[in-house]
Amino acid sequence: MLDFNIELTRGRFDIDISYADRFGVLGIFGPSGSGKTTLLHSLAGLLTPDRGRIDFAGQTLYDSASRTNVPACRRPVGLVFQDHRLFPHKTVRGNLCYGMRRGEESRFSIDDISRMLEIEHLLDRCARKLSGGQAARVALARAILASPKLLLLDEPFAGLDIRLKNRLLPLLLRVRRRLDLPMVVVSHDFDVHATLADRLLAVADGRAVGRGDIFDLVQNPRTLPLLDGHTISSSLRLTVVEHRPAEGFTLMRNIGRRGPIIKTRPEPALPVGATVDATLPSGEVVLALDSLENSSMQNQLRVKIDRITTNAGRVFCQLDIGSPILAEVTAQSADQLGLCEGRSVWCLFKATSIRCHWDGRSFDSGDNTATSDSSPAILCDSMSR
Amino acid sequence: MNGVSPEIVDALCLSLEVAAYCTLVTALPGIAVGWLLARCRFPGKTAVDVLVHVPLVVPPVIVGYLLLLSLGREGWIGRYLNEWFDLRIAFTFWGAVVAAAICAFPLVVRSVRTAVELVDPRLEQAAATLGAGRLRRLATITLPLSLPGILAGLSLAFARSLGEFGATMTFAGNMPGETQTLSLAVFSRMQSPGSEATVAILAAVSIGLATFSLVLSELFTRWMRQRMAVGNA
Repeated sequence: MLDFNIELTRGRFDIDISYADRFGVLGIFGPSGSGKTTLLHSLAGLLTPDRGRIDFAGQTLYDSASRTNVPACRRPVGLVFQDHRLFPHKTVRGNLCYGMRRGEESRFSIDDISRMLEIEHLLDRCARKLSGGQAARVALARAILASPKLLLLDEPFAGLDIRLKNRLLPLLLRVRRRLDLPMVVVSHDFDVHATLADRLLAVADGRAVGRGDIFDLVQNPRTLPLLDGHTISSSLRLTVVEHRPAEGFTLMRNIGRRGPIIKTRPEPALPVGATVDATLPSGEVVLALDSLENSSMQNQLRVKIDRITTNAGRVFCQLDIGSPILAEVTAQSADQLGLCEGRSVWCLFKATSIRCHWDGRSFDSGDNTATSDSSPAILCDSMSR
Repeated sequence: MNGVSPEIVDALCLSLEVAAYCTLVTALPGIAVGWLLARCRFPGKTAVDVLVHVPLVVPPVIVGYLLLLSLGREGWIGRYLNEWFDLRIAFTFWGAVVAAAICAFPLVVRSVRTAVELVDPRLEQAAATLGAGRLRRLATITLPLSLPGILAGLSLAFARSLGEFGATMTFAGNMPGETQTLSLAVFSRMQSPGSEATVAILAAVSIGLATFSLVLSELFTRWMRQRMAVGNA
């Protein structure tokens, strides 16, 4: 259980944010300057709030009433900084070893984590000679190797171009799936939250304005404006059922064999039976009263509308395709089709709309090598400091 | 070259010895005070800052005089050192070391302070989140990163103590073989006619040594700058 209430004033800016929930991955999002980083630094113990309380896993890390304030170095909390903060006078290995407690059994080994984040070939390199994408991975590995019980990530993709982000996001997802480590991820990039987070906390002007999952956020009039300009995606966990290379797609289904078969672009690299994390943008889901016989829409599923939300002129329909997804339609379409809760409709989307992540790789373009780069040399060249 | 008498060699060796001890003696307190001024906020910080820098601006003769008042045989502290430990500092080799150390101390503190201030405190924050307490952060992050600056300060202290004259003369005297360092030897020779050649040699050696230490200090400073420039990129 993570339970905090942080009140802090810095000049004319003040923060008052409370949150309590069970473990998992909490995504914090909001515009720049809304207090996200301040919040993370308070949780890590780098900043002392003026008032409030931070409890984590039954331990009080901070309590202004009883004047408890566990120093940062004794909190079971790791923090991956936006600017990486690698120690420039140490090698990558030296950086990774730094947080491993001497004489104490580490939960993870350098070998395992370096392999997981694909930095084995960098271990003996000097930390200051790394490119941005490499430094981001080393910083993540270093924080994990300190065996924190809660990992905080501050804008893990800041300063990385889209290609590097696509490279790091699945690695982060791999860490999340394999290590079962509670995380708090701060990002203004909603895509990151759709892929990683179980629950979301929307922050604006130092206040929590909404919490819950994406379905809660689109209903909340205070959080929907924060999503303007972001791709709102639903996340799915799918199992690979069968490859149909001749027909040009791979068949998948929600884990637990729930719901209908879903066709995705052909991904022969995915083993049958593997569980993949997938996202489906709400804007790419079409609702229709009849199926479309002659179209390129490979997925045509008969579903029931569970809920309709009209918020700030935008209409979101929550549908069940084995797990809940969102479809955004215009108010005019909703009107013309007579959409209402409980009504059966056809839910249509292209096989290519589904974006899959599996075992440290993204499968979202025809050419997998674009995102699962095994050549560090190419990475180096493409990145400027 | 009949000017190179054993006395000159003695003076040279003594100077190097005094400078070496002076560097050693100033190292730890210099690093401690430099770090304190760079990283800590405490009441009376300005007073400490001023006090540390006083020897830099006060005439060295006055520094020697103050040392005599405090550490001399009848001084406030010297009296007890003499009574309790049978320890005499004034007009001994150690007197020369103390006089040089007091004059060189501000240079070490300044260099260390600048070097520590250049170390990005965010790296220390990162170390804290990795479980490093204050001492470990100091030993593994702050000091190693500011090492070139610390070394630059120490070589500056070495150079400064080679050139020490006024405080040494006042507090330690001018005893050949015991407290007569290079600069004091030059001064003595200048008083006696016919020693021009010796004075010239002593001056040349002195200039050579001082220049060497300064170059060393400059090299360390450059190393520091490079390290920081890349480290913060």
